[in-house]
Amino acid sequence: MRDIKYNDKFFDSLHRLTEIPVEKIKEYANGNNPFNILEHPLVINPDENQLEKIKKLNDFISSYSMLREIEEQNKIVLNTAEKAGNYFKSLLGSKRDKECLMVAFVDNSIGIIEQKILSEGTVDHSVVYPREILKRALYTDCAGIIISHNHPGGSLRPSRDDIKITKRLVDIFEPLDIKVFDHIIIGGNKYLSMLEEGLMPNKENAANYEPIKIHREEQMRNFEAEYER
Amino acid sequence: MLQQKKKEVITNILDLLEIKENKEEIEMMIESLGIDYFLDNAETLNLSNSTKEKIIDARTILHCMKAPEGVLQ
Repeated sequence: MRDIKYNDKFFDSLHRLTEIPVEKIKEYANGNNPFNILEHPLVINPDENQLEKIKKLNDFISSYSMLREIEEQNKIVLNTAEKAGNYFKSLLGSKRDKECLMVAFVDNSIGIIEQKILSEGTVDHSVVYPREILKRALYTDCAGIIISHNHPGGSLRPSRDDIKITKRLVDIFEPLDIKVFDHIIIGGNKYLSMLEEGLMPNKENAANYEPIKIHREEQMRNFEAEYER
Repeated sequence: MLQQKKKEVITNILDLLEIKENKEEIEMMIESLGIDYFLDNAETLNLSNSTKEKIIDARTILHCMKAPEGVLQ
């Protein structure tokens, strides 16, 4: 049997939600899948109150799964600058005290797989680490990204740094077949799409991520010839 | 139809988590940003500590359910 181990955080959470003592859960989990407690509560002989709590937790889990299913069918698609602008406006428009950079990782149909704030700064600047964006992009296996950040002062004009970072991200991501679709700037309840404004940079000076062929035999011949000399 | 179903499920989830504060605001957040966004940002919401704790506990259970090998110690 596969030996599944769970950490204390899991046991504590299950205890708090069901009121079953941690020791009892751990004892059952020693050799059994603790999720059996939810599916077949009688295995731990719960009292009426615990049974009620288990039922509630089960209802929560099935409601969550149902909602995820509906969300999947209703995936938010950002296939126009207007949709992307309005989407990020709802997330960043109210942030007046600091600059935040948010990235939407999207699939081939520009449906959002995940969105995340990847940098939070001060009132007039934030620091962007392309490495962090890349890590998330690879994790989500996305086809592209849409980046957005807010100007707490309300201006929509892209700064030189805004253009520079967009270019840098294009140079990093596009050779990896991750398209940088747009960079949306939010100022209060307005947005500016760099794509719509024709400000999205073209790929230049990009790093080369083409697969590298290694000719081992040729390498060995060169090495042997060198050695004989 | 699907939208109506979605609203019902969200209401049900909030009832199961016994959320009584800022219900409308939270419903709107889940509707527009998704249930995972709500669960992942529980700490930042304007809710009582006991409600936040309940959401975080529920999130922990869901994460462990999704993890194929559970959470290794």
